[in-house]
Amino acid sequence: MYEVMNMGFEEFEEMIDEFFERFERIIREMRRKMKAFEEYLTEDIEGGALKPLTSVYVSGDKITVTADLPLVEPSSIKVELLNPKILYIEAKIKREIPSTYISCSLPPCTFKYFKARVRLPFPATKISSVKLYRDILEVVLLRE
Amino acid sequence: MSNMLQKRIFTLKWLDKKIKPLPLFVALPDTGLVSLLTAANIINQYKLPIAGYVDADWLPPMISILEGKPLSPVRLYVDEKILILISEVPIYPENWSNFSQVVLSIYDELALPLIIGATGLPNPKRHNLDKLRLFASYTDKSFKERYLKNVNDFSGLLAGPYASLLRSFLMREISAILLIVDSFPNYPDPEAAALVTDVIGRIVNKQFDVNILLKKASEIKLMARRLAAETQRIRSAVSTETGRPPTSFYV
Repeated sequence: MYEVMNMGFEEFEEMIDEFFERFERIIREMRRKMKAFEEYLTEDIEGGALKPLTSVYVSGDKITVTADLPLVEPSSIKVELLNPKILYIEAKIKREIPSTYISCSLPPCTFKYFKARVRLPFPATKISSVKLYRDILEVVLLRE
Repeated sequence: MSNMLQKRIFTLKWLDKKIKPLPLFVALPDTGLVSLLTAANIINQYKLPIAGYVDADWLPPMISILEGKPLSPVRLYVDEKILILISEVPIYPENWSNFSQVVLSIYDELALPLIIGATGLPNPKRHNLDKLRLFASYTDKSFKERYLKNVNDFSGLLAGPYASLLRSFLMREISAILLIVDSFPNYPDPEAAALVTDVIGRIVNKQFDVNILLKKASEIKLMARRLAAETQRIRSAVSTETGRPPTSFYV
């Protein structure tokens, strides 16, 4: 306090500027983290799509992709090899899921789909099999 | 451990000062969130009261807020038959030994008879399994006969926070049981948690209801998926995985 009282106007102005710069940096960082979090949880918030948890395993000439798809309509599942290194998965959720169910920090909305573009570790030529068992979608692809 | 060191690495705040020495179930995010789902199910169903909090600089800077009420993410709950220490935040590998010190401190302060843990055995074919395999590691041979008759003995390398805990129990000759069950490697596994709940019930002589874990499995998975992914990210920093067979020097 004593130091502030003995400051010149310019010094004080600098201190205030520095304070606001730091504050803006914190806000920018928070926004960046919030955005990263939203992207991590969701594929497309406006389109009501959640990103499912996925895993990729490679064994010999096969690439196996699994996705956790709780509460989905099995008949709505779409799987497509968009290009040799991207597998697209889409499924309709049986009921609309409010965003608060996923996280209170998401903007208010509801989710109706799972959508994911899964990056493959090796190029694949085709989808060999698709199975859904206990909420887990298993897609087996053949390697190039 | 000296009191000075305890004060430096964590603070334990008791809300209930008359806790009986009961078996302690330690639940923290690990493969399949098995122990966390087990603990959450027991705590929620039986509306267990909070008996204490843990705070430490090495815990992630997070706080749980439940219906407006702030709660430490590491809490101790009490039941008539069991104590539950739950961490709702993943513990980073560099802090696993600190977390073990928390457990040891509670063990010393309450003179606990037994510590129980549970984790998932990451099985990529888990979704094809109709019957999950349940394994155990235990410090006292009599536990097999008393509580673990239909449970397989685990042989293999165990990695993760429970490995760190078990090592500290071994050094201090503390009675402990670790349950290891087939689970999804990266997804929450309520069915595996139900299996663990049954065995814990057998150990503490109380039947816990697992209906919600089984009937609401899909909803639970949806709600817990972020924590499962975070846990997996932290686990992947550790270079080894649970399940590798032991080096067979003795074969």
